Amino acid sequence: MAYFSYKNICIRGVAAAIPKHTIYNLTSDSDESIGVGSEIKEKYVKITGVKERHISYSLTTSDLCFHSADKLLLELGWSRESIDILVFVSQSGDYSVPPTSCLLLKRLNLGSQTYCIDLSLGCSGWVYGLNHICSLISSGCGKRALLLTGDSKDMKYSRSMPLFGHAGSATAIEYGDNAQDICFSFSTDGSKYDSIIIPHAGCRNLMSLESYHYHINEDGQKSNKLELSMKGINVFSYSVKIVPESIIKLAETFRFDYKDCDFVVLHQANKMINKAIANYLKMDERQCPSSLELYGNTSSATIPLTMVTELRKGLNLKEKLKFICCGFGVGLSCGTASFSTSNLLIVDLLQIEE
Amino acid sequence: MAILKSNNMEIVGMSCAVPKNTLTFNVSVEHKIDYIKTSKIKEKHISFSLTGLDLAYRAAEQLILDLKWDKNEIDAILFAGSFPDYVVPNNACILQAKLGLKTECYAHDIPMDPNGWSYGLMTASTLLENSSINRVILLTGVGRIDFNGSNQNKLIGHGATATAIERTIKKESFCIYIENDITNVGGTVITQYGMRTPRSIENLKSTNSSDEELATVESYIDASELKDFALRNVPNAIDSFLKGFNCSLSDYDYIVFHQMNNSVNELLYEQLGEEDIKLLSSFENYGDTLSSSIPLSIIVNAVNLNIGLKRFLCISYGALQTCVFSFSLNRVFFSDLIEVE
Repeated sequence: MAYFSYKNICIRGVAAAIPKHTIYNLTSDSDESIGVGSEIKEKYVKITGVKERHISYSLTTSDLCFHSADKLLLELGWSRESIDILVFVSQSGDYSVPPTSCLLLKRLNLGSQTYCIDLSLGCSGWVYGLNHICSLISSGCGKRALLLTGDSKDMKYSRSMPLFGHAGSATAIEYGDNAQDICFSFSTDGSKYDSIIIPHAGCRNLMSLESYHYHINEDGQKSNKLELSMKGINVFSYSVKIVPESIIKLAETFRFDYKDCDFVVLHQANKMINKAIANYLKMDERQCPSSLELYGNTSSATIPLTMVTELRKGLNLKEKLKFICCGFGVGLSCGTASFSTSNLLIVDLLQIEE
Repeated sequence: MAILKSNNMEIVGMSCAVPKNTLTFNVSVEHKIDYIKTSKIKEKHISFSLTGLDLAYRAAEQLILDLKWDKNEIDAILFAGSFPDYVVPNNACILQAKLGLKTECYAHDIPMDPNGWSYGLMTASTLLENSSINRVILLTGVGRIDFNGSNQNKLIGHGATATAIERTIKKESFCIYIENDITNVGGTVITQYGMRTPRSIENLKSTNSSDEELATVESYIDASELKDFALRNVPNAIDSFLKGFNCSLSDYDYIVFHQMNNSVNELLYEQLGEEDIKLLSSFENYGDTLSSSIPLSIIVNAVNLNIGLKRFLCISYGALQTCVFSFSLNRVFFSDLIEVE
């Protein structure tokens, strides 16, 4: 594991936005990707835990991140000029060039001196982005930062798997007194890079008419080469091993007991994977919250989205809360963060019209 | 303000790989196009099969070998480029395994062409400052695709570089200053992976593209806007950098601009009016290699660099940003240029 730790960095607020349009996996007839018939659909929902998900054909990740950030800044009372750093983590930027972070800088009306950077990562993206911001703040590059993460937008001929939903998130981070250090552990296993992959559209397999041809994959699902393809067994075996290892090693290295934390917020991969990890760590549902049922797997937005949708329930956010967050998947790549918050601002979930 | 001074990183090795295949700009044909002519390009390297990842892999393998680095001691791998092999997953993760690096490696892509190398160095310096990370491999690269459309696209050549960065304690520091210019966001837009205006099936049918052809990338680069962007931002950014770090042009031995157009860079150089600082370029023979253009310019001129401590001032610009940064090279190793069949 690669380890990092930082002093005096605080997470001040979290917001998330989803498209208003909902797909119901149990009843949707238009979505043939699960298979036809209620029995197959019920089985799919039972294994993945995803009953509903929000999908857009027009809103990009940057649109959803913009709404999250705009509302978060407003509720925090932070002025636009006070933002020093903007980090956008996604696999679905607006363009290849210029960076989406620069476009968001303009749209959010931030100061032109803001440090803007795009990072390309999937499920582990929020944790990598958080570390990136901590290292910038710690090196003296600024005091206030916005971390924008997520993935969105389906195209007419390349739809997301019924496991996935769309979301964009914003996290506000600030230099300030914090008794607890913010600590990270990271690892990468690129030997299994094809476990979660979009086979065409990059430079390796250029986009062509063949990319759009539908075929039936090993799991009996219909897909084409522009849609995400997943080797479920590889992802499962990687995740249930690496996530507990990453959390336990982080706790050992920085000498804390992971069982003392108030919440373990995991990337929402699927119900089977997340349940296996929670069982291994001996965490109950309250300690290890899930947003899979209503929103699905939303890539690098799952951790902030879960904080937004699950943590408000009967919780005094003014209190000091200890978190462990772990993002894992695409790459394959894994990142774990531990931190504490007090007076954390959580913005109500935003639903955005097309 | 995006300004950083770091005393703990040193560039210890650099390498580059380009496709063997070259495209020569024929005086009688292409040079009729005024923009190509004034850019002063002679040839560029292009490949129909090698991707940026392939080229970056070759550059990195060679550099690790030449430096005799133990692969288990490389703690982070960064790929700085906007044209990866796949949309999902990223190049850095694939290269971690392909290069045989340990799984403890910190890996991600920085899709920031043409400022990728600048952002990569900045990221490497902040990683070194805040962790147990000691060695970082920073890769840049573009290949396989053809940037169709406006004139500037014809100048884009393929190539990749690898930079080996190590933790050190020294007086010579890495300094960087970055600013944004969002007055004309439409000036440079390349849409290949973009979700705002994705390529549609109808669009592919109309262009009748096949895998045998170079994939054309829909892009809009307004060459005159790019020139205006450079003249509007680069001199001011250099000024802000020098003031911010309390230094002067005479402190540096070499200056290297992003290689988008030689005549623009020569104009920028002349405006500085400092003859003691030498201008390095790779544009004539390699064209605009996006994020690779600054390191490539240093590497191809390596034989001419006098021995001993040399201080570099570099400026990358384009895609709404200008980055001015400086570093020194002393015990750096340059691998021989690799031409990949």
